[in-house]
Amino acid sequence: MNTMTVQAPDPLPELPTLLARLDRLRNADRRAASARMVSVIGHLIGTPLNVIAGRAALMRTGSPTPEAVDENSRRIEEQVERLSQRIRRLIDYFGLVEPTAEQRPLADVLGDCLALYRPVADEAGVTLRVNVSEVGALRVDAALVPLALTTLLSLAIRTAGRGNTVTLTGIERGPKTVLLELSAPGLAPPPGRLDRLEPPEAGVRYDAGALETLWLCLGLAKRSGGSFDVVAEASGTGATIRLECGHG
Amino acid sequence: MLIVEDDDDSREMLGELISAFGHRPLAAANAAEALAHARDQKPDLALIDLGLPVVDGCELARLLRLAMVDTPGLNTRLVALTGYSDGAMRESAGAAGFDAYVVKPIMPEALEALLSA
Repeated sequence: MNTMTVQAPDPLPELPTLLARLDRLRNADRRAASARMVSVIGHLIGTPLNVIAGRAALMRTGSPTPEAVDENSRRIEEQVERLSQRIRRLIDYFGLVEPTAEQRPLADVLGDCLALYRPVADEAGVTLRVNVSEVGALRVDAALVPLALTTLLSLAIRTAGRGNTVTLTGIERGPKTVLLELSAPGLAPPPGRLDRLEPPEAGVRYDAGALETLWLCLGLAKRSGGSFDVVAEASGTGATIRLECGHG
Repeated sequence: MLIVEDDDDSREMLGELISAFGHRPLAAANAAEALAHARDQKPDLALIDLGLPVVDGCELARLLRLAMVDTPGLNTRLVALTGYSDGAMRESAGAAGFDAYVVKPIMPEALEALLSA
């Protein structure tokens, strides 16, 4: 049997380099998973859509009898029901992941995220500013919020460009919600509302990995009882990412 | 025109549509029926769903290509019909011997053009 020994490079790359590589892998993984999922959805809905399109064509081909029109209409209704059932099952399946019950103070969660990403920002020549003093004691979901925050910090730093500043501001929004606003001076706003957005037309590329990242965070925010949006800066360049999450 | 599709609704609809476009449809729900029809009727074109049970569409295409070698007069254009649009599936279909690859839903006008080509 042939064996191969793989050794870690010596010396190991610096933390920012490792994190940047990890980020690229995360984006590639998300993109591959999304592509696979879209392909499966295409397969699930392709046949009912095919029948609907065909039955509709049969109703306008030649001179169909009233009975044929009735029969084709009935078949179309059946396929619409079949399609709805499949979509409902998909939504149920992907809704199975629940937030954890564990909560931590927001200040601690942020501390961990900044410990990871401040060196990355330094190396990229991006200044990180944090203003969460009013909300640091609030307890947030210990799994979903760090995942969303590290993902967003990484995106904001990566797109910011040397010499720019990424600012994170926390604001309490009522008794159960905290708003985290992250300025991303180099991020182009997505070309539409995130929850209504269709994938870009072939040939049109939004920032590689950014759309998947934003969709992921939209899902995370909703699961933690909050909301998520990206709005264009009034100046015309950059965007503000607004993550609302529940707090205990 | 041979339709190979395990979904009853889809197979029935394709048959009616092909008739409406002036062609004679042959329907098969699996690979065994498809091979029998191909040898007996020698269709000009076979529209084959890739997600067939037991023997899938790609395997059926390979079997049909073999059948074309030893069945005089059998020279059928093979068209893959599928909901999967990823590159890997497209490559597999090409390697299996399909002449064309169509992603569902196929619009009736596109089907008519395919049948007339």
